Amino acid sequence: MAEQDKTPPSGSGLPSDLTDPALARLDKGLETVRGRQAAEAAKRAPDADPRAMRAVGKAWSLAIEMVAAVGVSLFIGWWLDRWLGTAPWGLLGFILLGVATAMWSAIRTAMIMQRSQEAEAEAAAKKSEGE
Amino acid sequence: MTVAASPLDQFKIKCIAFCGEGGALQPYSFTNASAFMVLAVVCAAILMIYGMRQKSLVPGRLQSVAELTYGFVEGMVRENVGPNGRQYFPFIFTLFVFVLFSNMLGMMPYSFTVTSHIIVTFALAMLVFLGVTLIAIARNGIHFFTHFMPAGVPMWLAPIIVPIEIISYLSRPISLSLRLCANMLAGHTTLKVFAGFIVSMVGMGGVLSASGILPMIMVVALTALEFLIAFLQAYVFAILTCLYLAEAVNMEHH
Amino acid sequence: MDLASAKMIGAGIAAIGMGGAAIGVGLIFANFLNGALRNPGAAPKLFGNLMLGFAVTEALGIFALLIALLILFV
Repeated sequence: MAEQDKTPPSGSGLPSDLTDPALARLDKGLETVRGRQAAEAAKRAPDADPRAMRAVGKAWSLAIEMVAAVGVSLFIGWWLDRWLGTAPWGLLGFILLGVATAMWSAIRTAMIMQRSQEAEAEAAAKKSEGE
Repeated sequence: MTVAASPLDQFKIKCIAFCGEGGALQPYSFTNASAFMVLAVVCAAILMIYGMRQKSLVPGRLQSVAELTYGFVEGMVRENVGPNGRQYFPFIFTLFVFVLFSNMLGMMPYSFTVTSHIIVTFALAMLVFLGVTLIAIARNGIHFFTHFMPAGVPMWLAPIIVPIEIISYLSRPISLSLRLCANMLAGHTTLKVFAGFIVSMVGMGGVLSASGILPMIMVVALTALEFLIAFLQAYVFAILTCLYLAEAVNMEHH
Repeated sequence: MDLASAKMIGAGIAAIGMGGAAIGVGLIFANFLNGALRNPGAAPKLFGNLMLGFAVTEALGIFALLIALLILFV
């Protein structure tokens, strides 16, 4: 069996369908391990792209945060109107403020993204200069 | 059956055991919502306590799931809050595991999704919001209010920026609770609506009976999506709590 | 027309606004796909902007839903 284990691999010009029992066992072993790895990778498939998942979560978060900002300002404005009796002006003013807050959240997220992209581009440029 | 079940029936609260008059409070009872909350806590406890009972170096299945959950939340806290936030790790772990198990238990047929009620998610979100605010005030004192005035803003812009920052800060519990509740509510309602389609299409007979397979495929796909959303929403809730905590705890560096 | 039916009709009309948001989201994704097909290498960098645009458009649609719910229940 030792001499048969020293047979050269099929890439060195020998015919690939060598009916060598040791190689056949090796092939079967490799198939099993690869199958198991593929099964594990498929199980982990829902988390296979965590960055995309995180980005979708952040996007949905931003949308709800914008709505919540308008909602909160609406509530504050309506409550202040009831308390101070300034009929529609408090509500309108605070709705305007809420819309401005929503837009500010969106712009701030955009600036953060822009800054992180610039930082990534700088890091990549420095790495390629250093090499 | 002449009256079709409404897709919103699944969110009804049913009283299981009447606990009695609360005196000054409203009469309270043990409802199906309470039962499922207890079930979520019991499942989480079984996973962590029973899973770690073996304490073997090479973990078995349950132990490896328990260790995976712990490692995941610990990595999240370490990345986002930093070393200052180590003491708040049990809180974030409890929050994440409770929301995750409540969402997942709601995916079982005939079960009740605890987090689809705005009052439950609002209670959780208010807990987080008040907790983080109190932690920030306790740690930073009056310095906490400089959070509303971001660095590098010229003084003439301040009267506009400060109310905007205050409103955006106050909208945090609302957005936290609304996000979780809206996702769970919408997902489960859509599932029930499509399931109702299957029943009504099969009941109509003829060609439409066979095309009842189409809403069935939709329901299968939607259930898969719902599992993903259940995990994602628990993760987003926990990560946002970590971020708010990081702002409160790391403020000395501003 | 009594108040309850007027509320229902008002909520229904307000919810039409979400159609505009749906068109907007479709436009954003269509343009992202267009750009990604022309320049596949730059697509990952574009993904962040895609998510931002989607979030803002979706928020505007949810505003319409908010108004409809306010009319119906408040």
